[in-house]
Amino acid sequence: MMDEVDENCPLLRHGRQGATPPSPPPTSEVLNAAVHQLNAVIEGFGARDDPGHGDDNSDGEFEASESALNHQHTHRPIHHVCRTNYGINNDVEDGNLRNRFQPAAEDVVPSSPKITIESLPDMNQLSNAYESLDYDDCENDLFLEEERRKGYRHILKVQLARWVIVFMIGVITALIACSIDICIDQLSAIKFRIIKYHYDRCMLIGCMSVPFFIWVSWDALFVGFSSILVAYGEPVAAGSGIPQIKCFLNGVKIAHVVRIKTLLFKVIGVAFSVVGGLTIGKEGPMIHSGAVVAAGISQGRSTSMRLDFKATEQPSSLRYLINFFLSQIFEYFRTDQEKRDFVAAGAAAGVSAAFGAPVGGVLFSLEEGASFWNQGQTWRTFFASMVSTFTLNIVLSYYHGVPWQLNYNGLLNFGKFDEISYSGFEIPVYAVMGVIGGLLGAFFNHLNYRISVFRRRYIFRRWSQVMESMLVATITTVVAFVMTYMVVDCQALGKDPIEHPLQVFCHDGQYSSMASLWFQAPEASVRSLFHDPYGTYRPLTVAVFGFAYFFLACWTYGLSVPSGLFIPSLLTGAAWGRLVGIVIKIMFPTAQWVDVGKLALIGAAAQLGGIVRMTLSLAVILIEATGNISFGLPIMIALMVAKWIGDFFNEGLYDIHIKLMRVPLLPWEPPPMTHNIRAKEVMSHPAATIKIIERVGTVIDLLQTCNHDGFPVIEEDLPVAQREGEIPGQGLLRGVIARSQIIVLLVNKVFIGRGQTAPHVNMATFRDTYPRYPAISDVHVSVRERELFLDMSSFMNPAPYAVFDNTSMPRIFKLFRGLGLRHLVVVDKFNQVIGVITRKDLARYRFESHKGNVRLMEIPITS
Amino acid sequence: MRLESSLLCFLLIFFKIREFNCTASELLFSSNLLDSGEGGVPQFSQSSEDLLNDHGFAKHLEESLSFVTESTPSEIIVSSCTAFTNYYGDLAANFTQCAIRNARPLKFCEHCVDVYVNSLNVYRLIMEGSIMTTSNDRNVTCKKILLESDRVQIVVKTAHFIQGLWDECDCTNCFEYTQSGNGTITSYYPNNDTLVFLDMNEQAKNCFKNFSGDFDIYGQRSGNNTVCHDCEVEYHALSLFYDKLEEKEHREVCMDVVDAMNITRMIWSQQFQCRESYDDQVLVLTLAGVFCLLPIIFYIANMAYGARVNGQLIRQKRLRDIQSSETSSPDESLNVINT
Repeated sequence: MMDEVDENCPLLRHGRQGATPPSPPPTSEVLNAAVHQLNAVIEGFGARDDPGHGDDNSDGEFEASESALNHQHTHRPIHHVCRTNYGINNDVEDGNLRNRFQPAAEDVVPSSPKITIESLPDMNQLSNAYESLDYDDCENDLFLEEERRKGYRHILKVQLARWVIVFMIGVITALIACSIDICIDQLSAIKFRIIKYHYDRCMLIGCMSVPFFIWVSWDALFVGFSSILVAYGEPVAAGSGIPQIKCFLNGVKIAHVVRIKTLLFKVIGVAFSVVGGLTIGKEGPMIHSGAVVAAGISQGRSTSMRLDFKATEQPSSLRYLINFFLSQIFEYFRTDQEKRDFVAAGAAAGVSAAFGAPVGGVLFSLEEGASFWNQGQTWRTFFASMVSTFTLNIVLSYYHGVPWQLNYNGLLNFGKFDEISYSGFEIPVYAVMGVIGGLLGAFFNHLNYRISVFRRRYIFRRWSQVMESMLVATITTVVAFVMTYMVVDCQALGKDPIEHPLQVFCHDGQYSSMASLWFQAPEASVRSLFHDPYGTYRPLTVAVFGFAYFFLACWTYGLSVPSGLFIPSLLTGAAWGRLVGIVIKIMFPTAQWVDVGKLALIGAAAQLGGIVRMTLSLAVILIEATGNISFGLPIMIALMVAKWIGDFFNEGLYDIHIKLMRVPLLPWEPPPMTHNIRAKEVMSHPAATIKIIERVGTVIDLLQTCNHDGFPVIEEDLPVAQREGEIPGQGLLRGVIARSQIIVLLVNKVFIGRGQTAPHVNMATFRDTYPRYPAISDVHVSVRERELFLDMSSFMNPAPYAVFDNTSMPRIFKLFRGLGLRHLVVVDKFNQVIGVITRKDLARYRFESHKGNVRLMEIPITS
Repeated sequence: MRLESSLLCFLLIFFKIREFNCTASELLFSSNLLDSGEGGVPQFSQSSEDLLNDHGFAKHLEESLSFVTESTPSEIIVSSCTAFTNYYGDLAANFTQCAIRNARPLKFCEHCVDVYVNSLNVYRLIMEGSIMTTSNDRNVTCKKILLESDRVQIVVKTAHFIQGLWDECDCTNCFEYTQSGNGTITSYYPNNDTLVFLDMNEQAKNCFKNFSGDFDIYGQRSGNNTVCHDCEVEYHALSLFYDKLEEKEHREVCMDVVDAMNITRMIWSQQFQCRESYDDQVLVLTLAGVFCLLPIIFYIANMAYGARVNGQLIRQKRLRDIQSSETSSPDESLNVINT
């Protein structure tokens, strides 16, 4: 279901050019013939411009490969009407695999000079596969009727229910995080015990290929399993999930992103891929899990599992008891807006469960996710974070054998820094490390961007995605093995708290510190680099390790396995930070202030800041996860500098991936220099409109041919004098109705005419179908019923937001962004509809800055 | 209840009623380390001096299996708080000395356990608040004087140091304690694992002794290879036992044992060069090379297999030109803004 801008609807216009008279209604044959004629015209139009694409082959092929994402397309009976291959020259034969857009000469728009013309780079496209979420209440008659019945008790109940739900989100998110933690811990212990046994045995009798093989195959199998879950089960579970959640909170519906199946596969997948030794962390997936939990709990049902906690009539069931307390509460939360608020709280709960950082969680939600924020929402989010951290600490305190000892150091993610002292003269050192972090981060992002573009283009078949993941796991293990084999760095046993010391070529009573870095979960390696005393690692060890980890992490992020970015970034940074510390210590052996652990922490912060480009929440997360608040300032400085330096070259990795996903994300601010762009340039014109009382057959035909999600509802146009040169109006604006509403009306057969009265529907009827309503092709209407009429007046939103045709782009943008709109109707001075603005109409204006060059561009929309 | 009894006890001591068995002081003075001196200051008996120099650890500890005390109430105490703190100061000094003397090679736990337990018991007594003293004709607890009189709280800090050192070495895992109801350690003895380990370690060392006079861990290879053959059984048994111990204790074996094991292993491995490691570098590196080729083949194969067909450009409905849309057909008002 597409938004307004992208498709090419048959023009069922009811303006003065629309030739459909209000009475008598045309028969379906006449209308079908008209549609048919129009198809012919459009296809002819396409063929005229690009003879090579008269048929729809390439389109179909593309759809097959991307059917997981936009499976709705398959329901469209005559979808090629709404889609025209147009202006693309796919010159595979030339060896140039890149699609080039070649506009036909007559279609080139006389655009304003500051908008640059681009070919189609991968980041500068918008996909038409994404729907928008609608945060605006539809205040129709049914809504008002319900509002009258509610009373104050209902308001209290809803407010209380919000807190209860937020509490549950915190608890369940923490429990999921715990189970991931414990799973990884136990499975890794088994893995390392097996490999260590063979390692130790084979060092003595010379069969090193045996542990090598065991290690490689263990990793490849675990990662392969995880990748199969993702590639064949739920592709949206890949990666960290933070970009997807960010899009969701911005108001873009990403298919499947908050489904329970996604949660399941993500949780299992991340445990398996971490145990499989990939250079990834479990934190990002935990944040995603929190968001899914929030979306699921707040709705009180799972459509995937056919579970629904709304009012039932069986008094004996447990469900009845639950409903006794929560009757109609969950129902009340079945709107995009409520769901969004809970998802923001869930993401915060995920962060606090992942890092044990409740404040960091709230700030993360604020900084990265939430586009809409208020005080009450902050409190609830903070409550969710707090509950989540608390639950996690209790469960883990039991796991660590110190029940209810909530200040136990092992609960801190990166271990406690006891006494870090620093003085003013060190601050330039931290700033310089920030610069290094920014440069390395920008390089990391650029490299990962290139790899991701390559992946999108060539590694799109499922089996090849699984194979690639397994290969990366194999190579990671090979690198780890060869490095432990080649770099001998022996330390006395018992000196450091190593979980699985590997001896390799060291003497008895010693272990190889290089091996120990690889031979534990990445998170534990971060702890080692932070806390192991000076001298544990030789400079060569950390240098080689950091170098390898940087490239492996870069290669790994974007595979089709659930994978977090935080830990690999921190680990890379901790390695080079520690290296900086060691080098300074060697150069100035008497310098008392040099603490390798401290510098490793700064390096980690700078590297992470350079990659994800967060400052506020990241600083707080690191402070909370290390339990050290006095060292906050150096962390902040390093993060700030890293962000400034990195932003000079490119964007944060999450934003890069959002752009690669071609999501129409609306930034915080309208693009600069757009005040002279007017609504009539921004809008889609003409709009597909519906009359306030419309024949059922016409409505069905409209929905079938045109997959917009909202339609301006008009009244027959009045004879308004129109001057020469003005845009033809399409009828007086009376309201806006959503596609989902129309479908509910059709399914419930709320028809009038021929002496028939419409059956009664209420808000619950509409909420029941949220968020998945049937496709139009599943709606069956008899031939007789097609001739009946639909009366939209009590179902449409009677007071939609509308702007004049000369409203400037920044105003539209602020209205749209601030209110979370989905459709904004553009009217002329006679209040006649002349177009509709949706998210994609706005998102196509993009402002970019790169190495000091700034530009405004208008980016195309692709399928 | 106990406070009252100790108050009574204090008064009784104060009035020099010797025959009375006092619950609070019985534990303290029971270890017969305290000898009532002339100046009213408790002094150490010879046995505690012995304790520091005693290297026959196992023997000593077996004696202390019957570490049960008899009551000998102190006779002359001017102020019982001073007496307790003085005594605690001596214990702390002894502990520090003992710790440093046993730092390398690390035999801290076994040699300092006596003085540690004593200091712990004394500190506990002080901190329980049962030791009373008079100040301005009022009875106040010793705890109050120590904790509320200055900000440094030297006694508390010292206790933390002692406890910290003890915990850092995981010494607790070497011993088993029996405690009386109020938490005072009445007896302690090395646990079975420790005894077995020390015994096995002694065997291994004795075996080594036949081949080399002293164990200089930093020394060079002695060139005597028969040791590797002759002591192999003892060494491997010890090593295996240690590994099991480590697993059992969740890697928190007490430091004495860890260090003893490390030294024995280093002697074996570095001095005698008994550890032989085989290095099949060629095979491993070949395998690694083969694995590294796989992704290259994979990517080339995927590229050869063909690229994903890019998405089609969607035609956008735009109001291009007001003038022309007025007159032309609706289709032409649709245009692609390419950008």
